[in-house]
Amino acid sequence: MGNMKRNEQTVVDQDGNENRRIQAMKSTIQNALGALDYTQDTTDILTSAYRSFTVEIPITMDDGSIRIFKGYRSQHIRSSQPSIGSVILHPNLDEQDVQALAMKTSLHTGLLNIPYSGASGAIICNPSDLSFHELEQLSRGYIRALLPLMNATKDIITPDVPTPANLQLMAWMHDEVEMIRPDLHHKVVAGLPESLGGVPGREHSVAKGAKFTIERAAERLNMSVQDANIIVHGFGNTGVYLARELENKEANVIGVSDGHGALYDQDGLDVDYLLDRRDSFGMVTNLFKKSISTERLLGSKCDILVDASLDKNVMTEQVADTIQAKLVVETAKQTLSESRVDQLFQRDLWSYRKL
Amino acid sequence: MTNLGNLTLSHFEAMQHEQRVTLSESEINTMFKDTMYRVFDQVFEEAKQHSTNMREAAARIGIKRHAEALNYRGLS
Repeated sequence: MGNMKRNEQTVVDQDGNENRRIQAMKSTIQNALGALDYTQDTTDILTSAYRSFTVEIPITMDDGSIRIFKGYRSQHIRSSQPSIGSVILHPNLDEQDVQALAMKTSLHTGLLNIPYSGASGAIICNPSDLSFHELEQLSRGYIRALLPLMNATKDIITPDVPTPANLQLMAWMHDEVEMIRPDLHHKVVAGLPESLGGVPGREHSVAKGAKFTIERAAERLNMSVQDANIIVHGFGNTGVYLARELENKEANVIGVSDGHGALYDQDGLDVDYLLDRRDSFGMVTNLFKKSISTERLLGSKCDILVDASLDKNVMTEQVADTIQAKLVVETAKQTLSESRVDQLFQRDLWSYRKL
Repeated sequence: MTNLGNLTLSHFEAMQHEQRVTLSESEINTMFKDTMYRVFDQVFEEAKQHSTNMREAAARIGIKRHAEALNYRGLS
């Protein structure tokens, strides 16, 4: 096992039409394993998804018609330990996307050092087009179709972003499991509302994780969050939460951006005031005359730059070159490309992604 | 999209179910914070030691446990 030779062969897509997500995931795993001196055999196994299921779920729609929805579940590794992973309701995902997400979840469990391998699932639909009742049918249908396949005690279904709507989906799935297999009580679904056995404080889990990371990063880099000048790029759910929490830690939020532009004030912005002024789309920068461009904000002087945005096209090479922050923290959406991360790294900036 | 915060809490929830206890918000918070600090430290050390960026360091640590387990179990 010890002296295995690193094989430089690139990931070959067997059928010639792998999608971008799974290719990116495979090359991430391949590079990591290459650097750790694992063999090509190990790489080949860990860049393939061990089990994938596809189901077709027929639902009676509110108008009485029948519609069939596709569902997926994929488990990354053949392993004695259970797998864990979210289920995503989305109109444009395919089996390879789900496999890529399962692999990514494996990286997460490895990083957290928790005894699971990665899994992932999807129901192909546009949830905003479906009624409450139709979503319930779909959640229950997903469990009915998959439960006999997925070796239920060994694959835990968790929510995508833990919004109240997603907790409701988990509650229906949990209930359906218990109707079919009462003995599997609490073994299949996690991410439940508190009254069904969920953990408290779930709704901010994403942003809170980022907050702890920023705190620790600042500590390790001998910076102090207190009095640090902070720019929050992307003033959405995560960005707002972080801006608030950091302000509570006596940091100075000097800039924020949203889809319309950016605000910057060297003396610090009042986050609560901005929240008050947000329009019904959650936008705030268009309400102020003194707004600047997002590009200029990113290049402004600050200590910590938090990228909580969704737009992958803002952070160009030129923009990344102008960043003056000492610490760049990316939240979950991976808006920085690999080459941007390299670029920041070459400039000796600490850039951390919550991979 | 999955992410560490969400997954961490799912893991705590599974632990809670397994042990039939109810953890308080402050207990969860402490565990959560410790976990994130530990993950950061690990990635930070890996990145420093191998002068790589944090993203790649995270991927290495993430896959290592699985690769090691796979090789102990046997590849096929």
